[in-house]
Order: sequence, then structure tokens, then C-alpha cells
Amino acid sequence: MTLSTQTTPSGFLLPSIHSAPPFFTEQPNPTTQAIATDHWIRLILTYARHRKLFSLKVEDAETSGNDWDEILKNERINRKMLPSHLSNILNAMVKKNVAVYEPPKQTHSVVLYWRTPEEWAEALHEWASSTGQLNTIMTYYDITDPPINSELTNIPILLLKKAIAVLTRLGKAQVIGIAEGEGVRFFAGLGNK
Amino acid sequence: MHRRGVGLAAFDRQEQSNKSFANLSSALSQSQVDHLHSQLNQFRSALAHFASAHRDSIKNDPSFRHAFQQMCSSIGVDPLAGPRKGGWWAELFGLSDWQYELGVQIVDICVSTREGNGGMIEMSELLRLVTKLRGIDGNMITEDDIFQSIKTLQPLGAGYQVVDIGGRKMVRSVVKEMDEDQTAVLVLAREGGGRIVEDQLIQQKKWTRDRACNVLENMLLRDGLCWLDAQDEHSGRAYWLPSAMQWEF
Amino acid sequence: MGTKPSVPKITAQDRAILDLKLQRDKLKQYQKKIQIILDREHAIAREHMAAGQKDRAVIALRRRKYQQSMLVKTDTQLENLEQLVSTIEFSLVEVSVFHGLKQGNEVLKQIHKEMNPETVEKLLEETQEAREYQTEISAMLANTLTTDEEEAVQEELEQIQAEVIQEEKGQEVQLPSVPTVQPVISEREPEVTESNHGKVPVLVE
Repeated sequence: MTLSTQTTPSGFLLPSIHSAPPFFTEQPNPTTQAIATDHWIRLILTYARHRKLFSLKVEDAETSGNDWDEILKNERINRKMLPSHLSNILNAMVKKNVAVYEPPKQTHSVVLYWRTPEEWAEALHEWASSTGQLNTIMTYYDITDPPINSELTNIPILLLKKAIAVLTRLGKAQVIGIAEGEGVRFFAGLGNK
Repeated sequence: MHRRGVGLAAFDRQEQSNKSFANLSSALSQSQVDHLHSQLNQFRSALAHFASAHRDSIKNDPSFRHAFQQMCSSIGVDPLAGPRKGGWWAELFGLSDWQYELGVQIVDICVSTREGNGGMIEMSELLRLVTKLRGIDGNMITEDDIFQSIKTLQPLGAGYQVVDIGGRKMVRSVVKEMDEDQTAVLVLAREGGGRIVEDQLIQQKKWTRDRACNVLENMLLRDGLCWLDAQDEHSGRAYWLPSAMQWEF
Repeated sequence: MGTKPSVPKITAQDRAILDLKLQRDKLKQYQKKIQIILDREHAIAREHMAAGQKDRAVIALRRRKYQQSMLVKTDTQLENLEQLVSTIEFSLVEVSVFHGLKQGNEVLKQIHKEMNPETVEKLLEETQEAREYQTEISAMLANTLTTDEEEAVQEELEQIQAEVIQEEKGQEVQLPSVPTVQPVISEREPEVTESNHGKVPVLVE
């Protein structure tokens, strides 16, 4: 039996370790578990990037038919990740600063940082300028639900705000707040493309 | 134009001038060879300078050493294949012999794969990785080379050893001795693609349940030589030895 | 943009626009919600029909109809809002275009002030004079040489050429040949002087 890489229906290349049955069990040896956790974190982040998934919940390991089936389960070898295992991995991800608990003060769901706020800031500014929306006042809804899908579609508000904060520091964005809510305006800034 | 001297002497003259030209041309090509030599020397001294300037980094920093080796192989210089026995390494770092240098590469691989295989690597896999690391064709490393290199490593007390497990040569880079029982487990696991359960040991080795359980749990918890699969369909608790599994990269 | 974090001030206009857009978002989100309800009521009505409960299906459809009318209402509201927003934004663009035109006009005026007809005329006159002067010189130069003089020039040129060639030849003959040293090593001493002369043609070839 050779452990091989597999391509999922969504076109994602699973690493060969995903075919190893013990990968789906939490390892009692802490050193071994640390290695396994690193593999899981890398897998989760690359998959999230591939599918543009922003959140991961402990329940995703409990229920079937969600976005994470392809990696939290391996039907060929009849293994799946248990919720308690996933919960620990989420915890490790938050510690490594590649995810944050969202909403805060609970440990069941996270927002994934498969791009750093700085990278998101760049993507956001690129999108605003390429769609001719510089110097226009926009609501967050304009960004998360644009008429034409962009890579920022469905971006969690939490991440969006962080990205805007990065741009604000660079003088490339300005947040406008009124009683009804918030909006943002982007500028070409220095060194504009 | 005036051409003088048509006669027998002219032949001699012709011969004479041919000779002179031949001398001239060999002098010319000699100077080209000299030039090339000096260029090579320059390159060699630049490489030597670089290597000695960064000697400590090359010796101590695995990722730097890896980058240096990649650089060498990309410009077609095998750091182990220098002008004299021992290669560049020997010349530049005062290290004694070729085998020892190969040893450095073996250690490099054993250490970097340890997390995946628990410190046991099959000889053929090691050979493949060493060849890949050296990245130069036509300079084949053989099993024997590795065997010899590991011998030279022994005085260092790093615990590197070639062991025979179930008829297969494996290189062990963990300091812990593998006892007889663990070796037996490894042999059995190999037959099952890496998987092993208590019952196998009880039935095939006539061990008591306690003994089987102890060996496996020690390998799992104490030595980190195997991984646990708690979702095994048959026994509910199976042990997997990464060094006995077939991985595709 | 000017210097570093110099972002424009937030004006009352900006706030008004944001307010309108947020209202628009609320309507959009509301519509999304209603659409989901509509789909669900439809599914419920189908289920009831399949189960033979006609009256229940009718109720579901009635509810659906009501929600549908709401959707139409919000549609017109949304349209009004969006029109308002785009009118305002367009007016802002118009204002900036107006500013641009005004500035352009100023600049143009400035330029015109510097370019009054008299200076231009004077400049043109001067340019004309210079051009005429240049043509005159060219014409003069072309006409001064007769055919005879031209021939003399050519002859002189040929003569100079011949001299140059002569000089080069003379130098070559006197060149010492490179390999003269070698024959010294060879056994035949007397031929050294002869080979000295014989070498020259070989080199020239």
C-alpha cells in the first residue's frame, strides 16, 4: 500500500499524509502531535485559500455536507477528524496567529488568515482602483457583496476592517463613521499604480 | 611586391617559416590555456574565499549548507569532487576525507526526515535523497559509500548505524538502541504497509498481551517511533510506523 | 494627492452619501431575505399540495403573494435611492469638471496675455529674416565654385590619396619580420641573411 497524493473533486491536491490513517487520530506523544498539527494547519490554510473559505468551526467536523468535507474526512480509508481534535487544532492556529476566534470569547469557530491583513490590504486597494472606485464613498456591503464577484466577496468584516486599517495608516483609505454605520473611501495614495 | 629567392633554398626557407609559425601558434594557444587556468584559479579562489568566509555558517547552519550545496550544484561544482581526495570540503575546511563529507550529507538528510520517520530511514530512500541533494549525475553514490561514511561517523557518537531489519538495510539516526522486540515489530509492520496491532504480535510472535502492549506503547509514547490510529476498523487501536510506510512524494 | 497622509476632510456631503448608501444596503439585504422567504413559501405550498392539503397550500401562496408585493415596493424604493445616490455622485463629478474647466480657463488667459499679437508678429518677422539669411549663404557658397575649380579640387584629392598609399607601402617594406629570431636556433647559419629577405612576401600574402 503506497500513500499517495490525491486530487479532490474541487481540484485540490491532497498531500500523501492525508491518506495515512493515523493522521486522523490525535497523537498521544506530544512531539508527534506537534508534527501532525503542523501538517494539519498547512493543509487547512492551503485548502481555505484554494476554496476561498474564511471560517472553520468545530461543527464542521461533526456534520456532513459542509465546505470542509474534502479534508476533514477521507472516505477512501474511512477516517475522519473528530471534533475534539479539530478544536485543539483551531486552538493551535490561534496561537500561531494564522486564525482568530470569531466572534471573540468562544473557541468554536475561527476566521482563517490564509492571507495576512497586509496582503488583504493590497488586494483590496488593487480591486478598488481597478474597478474605478477610488475617491468614492463605499459601504462595507459594497465590498463584501459586489455586483460582480471579486476575491473580496464574502470577506469577513473583521478581516476587512483590519485591511482597511492597514491602508489608513498608509494614507490610502479613510474611514467615515456616522450614526447609521461605517463607510470607507480609498485613495490612489503615493506610489500609485 | 618582390619575391626573392626561387630555388632549392626556398624549400628550406618554407620549412623554416612553417616551423616558426608552428612555434608561434603553440605559444599562442599556450597563453590561452594559461589564461583559462588563471581564470579557473580565480574562480576557485573566489569559491574558496566564499567558503572559508562562511565556513562556520556552512558547517553549523543546515539551511545555509543546503543553499551552498545547491549553489555549487547549479554551477556544476560537486563540493565533494574537488581536485584531490576529499574534495572542496576537505581542502577548504580541513576535513579529512570524502567519506566523512558524504557523512555530512547523510546526517543532513537523516535529521531533516527524522520528524517523519522517527529516525529510521530505509537505505534505498536515503540513497535516493543523497543523490538528489548532490544533484550531479555521473557521480553515483552507492550503498557501500553510505555504509563506509556512516562508519566514519561512528566515533562522533551520534548513534548512526546501519541495521538489518527483516532483510532490509535501514539507517538509524536515533541514539536509542532499538531492542529486539522493537525490531520484530518493525519487521511485521513492514509486511502490513506500516500497520501493526497487538493481536498480530500475540498470534505471530506468541507474545503475551502485556508484552505486545508494552512494546507498542513504548514505541508510541516514549520513542515517538510510531503513530496511533484510534479509528481502526478491526482492532480500534492500530499502530503505524512511518519508517515502514511507503510514501509517494 | 499631495503630501503623505493628507486625506480630504469628511464633509457633510460625504456623510449624506454614506447615509444614503447604508440605507440602500439595508434595502438590498431586506430583499435578499424576502427572496429566501418567497422560495421557502413556494416549497411549503408544494409540499402541502403533494400531501393533499389544498387549503394550507393556498395560505402559503397568499403569504407568498404578500411578500412578493413587499418586494416590488422595496424595488421602487431601492430604485429611487440608487437614483438619488448616483445623481449626487454625478453632480460631484460635474462640480469637479466645472472646477477643472475654470482652472483651465485661467491658465489659458494667462498664456494669452503673454502671447499678444505684436510679440508674435515680431517673433515671426525675426524668424523670417534669419531664414532668408541662411538661404542667402547657401546660395552664395554653391555658386562660387566653377567647374574648373571643382576639377582642381578633385585632382588634389587624388594626389593626396596616392601619397598616402605610397607612404604606407614604404613603411611595409621596412618592417622587420617577426620570425627572424627563430632560424638562429636552426643549424644552417648562412641562410639567416637570405631568409631575412625571403620572409617579406610571405607576410604580405
